[in-house]
Amino acid sequence: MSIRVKKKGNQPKDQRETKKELPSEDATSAKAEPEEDSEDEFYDVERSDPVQDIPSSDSVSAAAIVATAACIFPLESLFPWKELEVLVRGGVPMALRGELWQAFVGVRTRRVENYYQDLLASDSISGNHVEQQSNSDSKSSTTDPISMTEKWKGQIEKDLPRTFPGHPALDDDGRNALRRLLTAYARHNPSVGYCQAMNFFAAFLLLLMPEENAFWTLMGIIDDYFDGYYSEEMIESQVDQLVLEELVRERFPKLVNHLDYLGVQVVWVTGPWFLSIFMNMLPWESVLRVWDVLLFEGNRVMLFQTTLALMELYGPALVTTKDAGDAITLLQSLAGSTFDSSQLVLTACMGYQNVNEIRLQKLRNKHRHAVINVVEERTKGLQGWGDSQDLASKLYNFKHEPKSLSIEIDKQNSGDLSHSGSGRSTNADEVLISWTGDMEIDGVPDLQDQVVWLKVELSKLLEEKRSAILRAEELETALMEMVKQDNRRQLSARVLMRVEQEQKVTEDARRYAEQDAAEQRCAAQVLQEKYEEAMTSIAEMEKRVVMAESMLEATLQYQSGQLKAQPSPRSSNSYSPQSNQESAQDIPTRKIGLLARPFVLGWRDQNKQAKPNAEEANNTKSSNEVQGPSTEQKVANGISV
Amino acid sequence: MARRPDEEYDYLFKVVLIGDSGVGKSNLLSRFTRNEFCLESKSTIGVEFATRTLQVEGRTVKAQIWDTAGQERYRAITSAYYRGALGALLVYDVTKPTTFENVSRWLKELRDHADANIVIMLIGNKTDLKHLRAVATEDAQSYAEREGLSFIETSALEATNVEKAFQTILSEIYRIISKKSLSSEEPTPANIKEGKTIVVGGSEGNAKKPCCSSS
Repeated sequence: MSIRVKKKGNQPKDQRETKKELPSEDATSAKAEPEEDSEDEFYDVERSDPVQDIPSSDSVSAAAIVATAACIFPLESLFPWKELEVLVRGGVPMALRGELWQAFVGVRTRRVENYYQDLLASDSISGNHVEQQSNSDSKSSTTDPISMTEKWKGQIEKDLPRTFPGHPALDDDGRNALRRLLTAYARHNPSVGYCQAMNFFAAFLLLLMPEENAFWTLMGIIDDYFDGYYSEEMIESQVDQLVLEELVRERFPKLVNHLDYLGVQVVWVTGPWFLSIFMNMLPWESVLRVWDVLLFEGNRVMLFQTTLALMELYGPALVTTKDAGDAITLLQSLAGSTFDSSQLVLTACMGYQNVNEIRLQKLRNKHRHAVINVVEERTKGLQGWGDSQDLASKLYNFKHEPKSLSIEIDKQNSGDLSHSGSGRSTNADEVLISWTGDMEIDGVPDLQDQVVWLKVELSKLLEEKRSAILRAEELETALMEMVKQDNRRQLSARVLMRVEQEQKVTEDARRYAEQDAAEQRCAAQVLQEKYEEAMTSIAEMEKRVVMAESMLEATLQYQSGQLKAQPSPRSSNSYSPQSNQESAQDIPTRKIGLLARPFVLGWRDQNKQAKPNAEEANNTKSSNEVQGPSTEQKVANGISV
Repeated sequence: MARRPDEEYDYLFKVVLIGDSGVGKSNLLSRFTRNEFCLESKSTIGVEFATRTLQVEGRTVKAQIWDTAGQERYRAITSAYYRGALGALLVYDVTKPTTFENVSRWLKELRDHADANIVIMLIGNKTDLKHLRAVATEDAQSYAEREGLSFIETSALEATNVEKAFQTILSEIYRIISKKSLSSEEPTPANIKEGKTIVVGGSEGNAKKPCCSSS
């Protein structure tokens, strides 16, 4: 990073003019939806910069923005790098992405006036050259790259319609721009030329920035960030995969064990991730966020960190897969649905800080040798060995077996070759010589053959052993899993028992309660019975009372009857109305009194209406007291009249 | 085209799709595995992968298909995917003679880097473009016979022969495998090794099922 910082420290002069543009930029970036807050912080940082000028212009030209972006970097001593790093990890505002990426890649320092145009200008010339091939020898120095360019041209033409097909920006104009960009790059760096995947990068950049800027950005990415990646041999790309495999093996031993067991190599899936820098592999938002960090950091560390983060996120799910196809399909589809880009970037950057450029360089140096060996073998194989006899093909097959052994054989093999021929080279003649050398070795075929065969056997056995070990491990984990499950089952059984006991207790309680309830019900019933009894007895008593009353009445009637009959009529007349009145008011209480009275009253009230009174007394037994006196009075009046 | 759930299968066969860039490998794959065709498909970076489970000779076979990038420089990377492949579909474009001329290079590539007895099928794709045909069926046929390859012409666009092509190569693989498991003796070490892996792979699939279903 520090190197890059210095690299960008070259243009402090731009600083003033560009600061003016900041506020208008602010307005533009308001459209950038997802990272609003980080954006604000970003501008806070900017404003705290003491050199800032008065805001003025409101027209936003792309170039000005570019300049702004580029000049964020010059103040290497003043600028809070750490903070910027945090902001970049939080996501670059979409409106600023193009400009910031150019700044990250260092487009300004790379840019050479008219270079792009010159590269494209040779287009027409080269076209002529191909058409007039007879003349082409006159410029012998240029023929080679041009013919190479033509070779790429076919591939570029094939890939133009296959780059984000259907994207509205890639209409005819867009395609032409893409063609120019890729052609210019192929001419700029013939050792890379055109490699599939660059079409996606180029189109992607074209969506974010003007064509020429896209060229310089692409150039920065391929030449610096991915040096040796997309070249003819793709050596660095292969080295990175070996490095990654080592890292994954170290970080996720369990996962790798499982994948080994399924026969899946991590690099089968991660290879395309690296080569495409996750484009088409992750959701767009995540791709953008990864590119933010990758371009900012200036190296490929983020590729490793992101891949490790993805393994961390999806490893647990992968371990459950049962065959290679499922594992790969699952990993691909899970990666394709990594929509939480913040989580991804955060896991990548924070979780794998110890994966840094220094460490990666060491690992790369360690593995590069092996890759170069294989590549050399390959070229040799392509040139001479393809059709050679059994031994050679056996050797070749063998070389794909475990590495340590293959290296051994390799050494031996190369030793043989250097003995017999003039060492290794891709020159056809020399290969021929070495090939004949190989034939010479064949002259002592038995021993040699046996040695090779034994080695093959050995390697086979080793591999079997390895797979057996893997299988054993797998079984062990399965066993552990079963034991765990068993434990869990036991535990749940215990819990179940406890629950059952509790249930029993509650059941008992319930029964008791029921019994109680029943008892209470019984008691209630008893009470009810008693109550009823009481009621009946009350009723009886009432009956008796009624009876007694009626008896009393009867007695009274009888008595009154007797009274009428026996003593003088007068006395009975004067007595009866009074007694009727009284009896209507309070029969029960004054029974005795009533019984005692007649004689007194009978004798005190006398004379006058003996007969009518007697009749009246009979009637008023059932009628009212009120009626009683009034009739009495009437009668009395009638008599008095 | 009844598709069974992926869980149950008797055999797992790995097949690679190779051939020049733009001959239609990816569309053959998508036609076979998803019954889709896309006139404007993306270029393949590195490799792509898909599976499909189908009936072959009365057995359930899960085909694991690796679709590789066609650009020449990618061969260094894609050859890593040949390992363990039992079949290879070598595709050319019947409208582009150069893609047919390159078939021999691809064959060499396979013979150098793939298992010795890999089953190879030559496929001439894009037969729907009749007016543009530039490679005669007979030429390809005789070439295939010379090289001991099976041969078929397909159209991923019209879905002609795609199913048949995969069925053919898978049943051929199946025949070889079943023959080998019967007489699992004799040939070169490499062959024995390969035969073993396959049988183990197949029986493992079976052996694991009860274990998994019991858990």
